[in-house]
Amino acid sequence: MEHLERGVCMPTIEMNPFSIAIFFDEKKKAEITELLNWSNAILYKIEFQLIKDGYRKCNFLHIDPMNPESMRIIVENNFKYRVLEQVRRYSGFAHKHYKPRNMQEALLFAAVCIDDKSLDKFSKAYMRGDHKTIGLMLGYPKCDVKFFVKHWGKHLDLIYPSAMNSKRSGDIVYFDPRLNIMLRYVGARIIPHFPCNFQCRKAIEFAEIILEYLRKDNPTYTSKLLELLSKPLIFSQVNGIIQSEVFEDEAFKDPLMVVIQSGYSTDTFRLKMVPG
Amino acid sequence: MTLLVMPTLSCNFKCLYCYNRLLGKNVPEFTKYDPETLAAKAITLAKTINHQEIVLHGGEPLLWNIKHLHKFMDIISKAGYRIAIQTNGSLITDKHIQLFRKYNVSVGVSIDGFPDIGYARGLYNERGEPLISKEVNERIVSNVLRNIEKLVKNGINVGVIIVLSKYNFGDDSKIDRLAEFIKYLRKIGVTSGRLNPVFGFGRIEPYELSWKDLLYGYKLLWYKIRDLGVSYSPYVDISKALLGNFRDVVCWFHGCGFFDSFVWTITPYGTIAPCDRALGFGKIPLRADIYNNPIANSKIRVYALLQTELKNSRNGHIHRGGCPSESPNGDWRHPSRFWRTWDELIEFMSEEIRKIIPNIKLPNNYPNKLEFVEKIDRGCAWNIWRGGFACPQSR
Repeated sequence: MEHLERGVCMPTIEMNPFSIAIFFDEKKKAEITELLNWSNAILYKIEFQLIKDGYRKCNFLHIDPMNPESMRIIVENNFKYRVLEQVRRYSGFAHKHYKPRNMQEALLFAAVCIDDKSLDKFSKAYMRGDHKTIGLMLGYPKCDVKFFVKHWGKHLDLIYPSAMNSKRSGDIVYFDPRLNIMLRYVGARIIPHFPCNFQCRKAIEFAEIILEYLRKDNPTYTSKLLELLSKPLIFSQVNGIIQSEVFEDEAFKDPLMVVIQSGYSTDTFRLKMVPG
Repeated sequence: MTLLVMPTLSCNFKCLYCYNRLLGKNVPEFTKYDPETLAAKAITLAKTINHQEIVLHGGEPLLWNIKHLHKFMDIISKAGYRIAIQTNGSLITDKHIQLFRKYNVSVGVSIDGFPDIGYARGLYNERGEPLISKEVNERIVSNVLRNIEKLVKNGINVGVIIVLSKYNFGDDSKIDRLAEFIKYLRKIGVTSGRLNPVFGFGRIEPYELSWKDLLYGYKLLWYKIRDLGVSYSPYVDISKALLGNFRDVVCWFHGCGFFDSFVWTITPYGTIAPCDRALGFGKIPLRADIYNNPIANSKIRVYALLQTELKNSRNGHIHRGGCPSESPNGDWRHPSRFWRTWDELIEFMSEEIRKIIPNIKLPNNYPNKLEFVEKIDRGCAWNIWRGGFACPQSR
């Protein structure tokens, strides 16, 4: 993103964006992959449904110039949009945008809003790196926006400061499963933003709005998603690589899956996290 | 690339440093597949990754019923693939030797030296206490040596894997004894092998060599064996890399991640896993599909390391951080605990090569390490006479 390139939030490691899930069992891999395919697809729709239903003013969208289908959501909803920059194509989730080297790998990163006035305000806020305005227009709770503004730039991934604000006991960090964003890299999440802590009441209210949409679409998958988000995990970063190891139980001995993600920062930490 | 097939995870040995023992309890001891199905799986995978050799690995693969071995080898051989086997060498019978001859199998034997220094291999309990007397263990090692001789006498290609620990590499006298062992192997016709450092999993930790001790040992051993006409890793691999052949070097220097390694393994479950060294996770991970992903490719760990822990290394672009399973605290995101050994040994071998070819331009100490890795992986060739790259034309 532009603010990264301007050095407001300086990544210390250059890496291709990547995120990948590794499993230990073919059956569980198939089950979880099916669940993630569903959650990725439905959460994408919900992000825009939130605009239609008045929970937020705007959202970001990656438009594929080779695939007009990627603009369907704008056309169908009569949203207003503005291209903010061209970015390089990547798989999964990434903290950082790179300039494309050719047209084939270019995606258009756009602002999508309910009306022209919001679009103008949102786009300008993006260009000047005004996270407060962006966060509020995306409908995130004020406390979470304030938290983001305070920490973004010092950390490229805010899980660690969020964990430090959360309920803890010894080396264990507790999280509300609805606020588990540690697996968002592969699409397992409810909320799309960093909560100020993993028990944040306002973020839970926001999560409940999204859960309502999810339950309406598929209550069984919604329960399964919450079940996955309730698993204990070890979240760590070493040498710019983030790893979330998800375990079957709190003994941390029986791994279910491992999610690996580029992190860009030399911050090193290891968090043992359990629901609570 | 290396393609391993594990028909079993069982073993008649319980070596001090074995990483298979870290697996949980619910792992099948033997493959659930018949040899036909397992061979078909191996051939399909070999075709997919365009690899010509299939290695039977374990556990101890000779615990597999000989009829099954025969069937498996027959199918693999008829399909046109080379076969290799990695064994502890204790269970080799005349029937196995006939089989190896028939299918032209290359045999890798794991042995750590003469009986007096080779006893980290053998039978130990979870606390690292020996389950048999030293004398019995020595008899077992002697038996393995006899089997190696038999294999060689029968015209079978044999290489050895020697695991280096304080037992066999801990001081000058032990290094002398190991050099004698390599000379003995040369005499009976074994000319190649690997000198792998042991890496700590609990009970072996006290016997692990520090990076400095390992470097000292490698240098000393080099002077003792360099004129024997033998080909041992890591010397041979470092020399290959310095001369511009990065493709054929030992897997340690390929910059593997933990889940996307240079090695592909078919487990007793029939699943495709990364390197067998990744089994120490407590469960067998399924292989990540990183090689087939043009964006998130296999350079993740190398690129990260060259900007962090290996930023000031002299030769991180050549050793690429070493084997991820050797990383401290079991965390693959660090470089191998022996990366400084590789860094220095590459310098040492550079000097050795320059003594023979003074005007050669070797790529050690290349200033832009990320650029070097990127060029090598793009198919550029290092020119040892001009000291630069020749790269394929991009379209």
